[in-house]
Amino acid sequence: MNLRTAALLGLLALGTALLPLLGSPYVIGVAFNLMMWIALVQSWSMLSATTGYVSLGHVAFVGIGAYVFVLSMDFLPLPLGLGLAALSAGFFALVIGLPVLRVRGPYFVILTFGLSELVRNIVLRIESALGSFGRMIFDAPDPGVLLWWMLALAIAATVVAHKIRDARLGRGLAALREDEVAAETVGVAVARLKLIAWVASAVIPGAVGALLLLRTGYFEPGQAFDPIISFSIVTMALVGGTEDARGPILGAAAFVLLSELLWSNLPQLYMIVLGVSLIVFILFLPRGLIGLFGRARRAAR
Amino acid sequence: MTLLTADGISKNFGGLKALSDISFDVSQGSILGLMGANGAGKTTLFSVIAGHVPPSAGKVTFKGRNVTGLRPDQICRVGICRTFQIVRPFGGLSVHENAAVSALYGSDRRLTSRAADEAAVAALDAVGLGPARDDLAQSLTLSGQKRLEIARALATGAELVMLDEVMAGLNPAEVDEMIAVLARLRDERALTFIIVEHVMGALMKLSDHILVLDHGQRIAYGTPAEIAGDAHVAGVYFG
Amino acid sequence: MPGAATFPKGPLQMDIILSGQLLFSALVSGALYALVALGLNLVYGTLRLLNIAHGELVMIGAYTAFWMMTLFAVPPLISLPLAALLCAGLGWLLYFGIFRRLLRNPDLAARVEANSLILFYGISVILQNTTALMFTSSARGYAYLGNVITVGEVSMTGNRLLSLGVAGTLTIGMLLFLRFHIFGWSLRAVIERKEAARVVGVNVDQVQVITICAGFAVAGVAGVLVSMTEQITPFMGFPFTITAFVVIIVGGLGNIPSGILAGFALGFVETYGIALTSASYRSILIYGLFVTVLLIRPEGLFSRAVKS
Repeated sequence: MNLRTAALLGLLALGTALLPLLGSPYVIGVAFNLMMWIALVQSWSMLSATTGYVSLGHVAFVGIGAYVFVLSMDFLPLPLGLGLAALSAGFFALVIGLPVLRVRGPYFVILTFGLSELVRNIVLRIESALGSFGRMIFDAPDPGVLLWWMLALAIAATVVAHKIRDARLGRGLAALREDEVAAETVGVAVARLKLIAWVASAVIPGAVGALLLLRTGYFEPGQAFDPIISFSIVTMALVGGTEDARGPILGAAAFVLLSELLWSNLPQLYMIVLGVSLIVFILFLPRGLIGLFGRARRAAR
Repeated sequence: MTLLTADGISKNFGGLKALSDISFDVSQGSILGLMGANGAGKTTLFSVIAGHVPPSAGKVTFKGRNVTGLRPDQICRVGICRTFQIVRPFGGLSVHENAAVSALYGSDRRLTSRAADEAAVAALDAVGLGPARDDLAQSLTLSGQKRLEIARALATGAELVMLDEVMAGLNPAEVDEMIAVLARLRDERALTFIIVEHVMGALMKLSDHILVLDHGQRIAYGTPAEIAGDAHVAGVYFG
Repeated sequence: MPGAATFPKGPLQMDIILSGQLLFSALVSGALYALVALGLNLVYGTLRLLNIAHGELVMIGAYTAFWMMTLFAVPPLISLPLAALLCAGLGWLLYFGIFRRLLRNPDLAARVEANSLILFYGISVILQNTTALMFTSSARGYAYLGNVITVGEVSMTGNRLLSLGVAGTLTIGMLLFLRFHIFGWSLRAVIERKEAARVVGVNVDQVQVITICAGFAVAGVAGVLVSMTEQITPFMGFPFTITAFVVIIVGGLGNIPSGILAGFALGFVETYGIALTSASYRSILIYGLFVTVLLIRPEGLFSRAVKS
């Protein structure tokens, strides 16, 4: 990422930070969504772009964060609650990580999906056993405050996703992505690195889940663990491009824009465009928008 | 000085005895050749020493330390590195990065990024891949990719390099080139090698000693000249 | 869920567990699961495509039967071949429009399963939402053969009996076909060793096209059967996709006979599992089984799966 890009992103972050003071509730809402998706996709890419293990169940971490937060809300101030949400998601990832990461290729993809649905159904069952079919949130913080928190998460996720690639960890992940057996032979502790990437990719989504919960104002397992979120993350990553930390930002921006244009009137049309984009990008633009711009820039020289 | 000792290595897969009570030494700065028909147990022995598969019985000692049953990445940091019969380059990475990441992770000391790059450059030069540094590993020819595997092993700082049929698929000119590279590495850097080889000429030329396996058992051990003259080996090999 | 009967809530009753009623339910569920999974397995076995839009084909079959019945008073039996044709046509279109491109591009084909999952997800979203746009999301349904037939102590409705009959015949027919018919052998050859099959003269491309059409058609047929007893909505397909995946994972990806067996097994596990616990545990049971099998033995429980 060169200086110009960093400056641009810095400007974007600054502008977003000012919105709660200047912008309308609508703009704050859109900015919140954008920051949320950036945080989610960057986190996802920490695992899936680096190691090639595509997770189709990332909403599980979002939902777990939300659930832990809603249960602990009355006892903890906001920052601690967010921290607990993040840690819970990370802990969950840690506990199931070793067996899960032993599963390879497409099996891993559908396993993550199945796991996410399993967790959703378990939480549903627990909630119904507790007699709860949804929990209302009262006294949620001001949307501007929530935006600031989400901005912080988006920045944190972007910084980590960027730094990870050139660091020792990132290079080891790139090697194991190419060939796990060979990587082990040259000293890469493959299982440990995968686990680190997996847990790292879970932590911020946990906090995102808590913030999202506060924003929507209620907790309902079906929504908190909605698989559409997992698929949207993958779509945005694909469309934006996964080569570096700029892709997720582009992908998130593209779809938030699209959703603002289409959602309120024609949610089905939005979904259809999402589906078509997926197909078009996988077949014709596998490197995403970033790859497209890169090619255009090279052609212009 | 003895670098590696294998002591009573046995490996069973279910009812199949892949290795029975294999023992041998390898001295530092020498080349041990492993000979045997397909299924004789050479690859299994490699896998046991390299940590991919634990032995059913027996012990592997390296520089006085028991390394039996360690994970492959731990074995690498101890100083043993293996190559693969069917090459496994990090295809999407550059030739340089292949070696650099090996240096970064393979040594028992944590290298800085710059030190890893320097080690990578040295390793690539040693096998003649310097000029191809920025190419993608998958774009190399087979001979290049085989040399890359050796370079990766060098970059990890390994003292014992295990080569699994490194000559396979090379034409005669490339075979001679490879023999020269390996001999030079042994002489200039006092590297130790265990090589599995079906290309008899190369095996005989390179090895200081040869261990012959048949059906998981050791049937002969000696210098190339001794093995060549061994009637029992000839009988097993040529029927 | 198809075939699931309702039982009075109360303590576990042995006579219910051992009843023919429950057995019938399990058989109907099992047959439908086996049928739906069969289509999925056919497509995976020959093309290595993971069709996560499979449930949408069931949905299409269901809507076909519904509109035929509602608009033209055409009974589901006639809609069966119609739905089969419609879905086969869709398969044909998707193959030539999208998937041949996927398979021919070496970079994409290297990770064909993962890429096909995502591609099919896009297709599934398009199918669901296009249907919702055309017909709204309201639930539809119709009545057909709801008369109760009693054999001994077992009460069966005509429509579920028909489902069992059609699904059972198709699955057993497929087993026999694979075993004894020359095209069935070509199919098995392509599933097990594609390149070898090509070398011995099997027209692999033709087999692939026919199979994807057949796999889609089978799902459409299952949709017609399901429509007789279930509510029809644009989003009804998803649970079928999940159960189909559970079945083919348990049976081993690409292993057709094993998948049929696993389908019946799942029907039994689900029916008796619910009877022993309660319907609210159904999803946990299914996903739990799914996850467990993948973690322990990704190649499937029943037998040697096809290597990818």
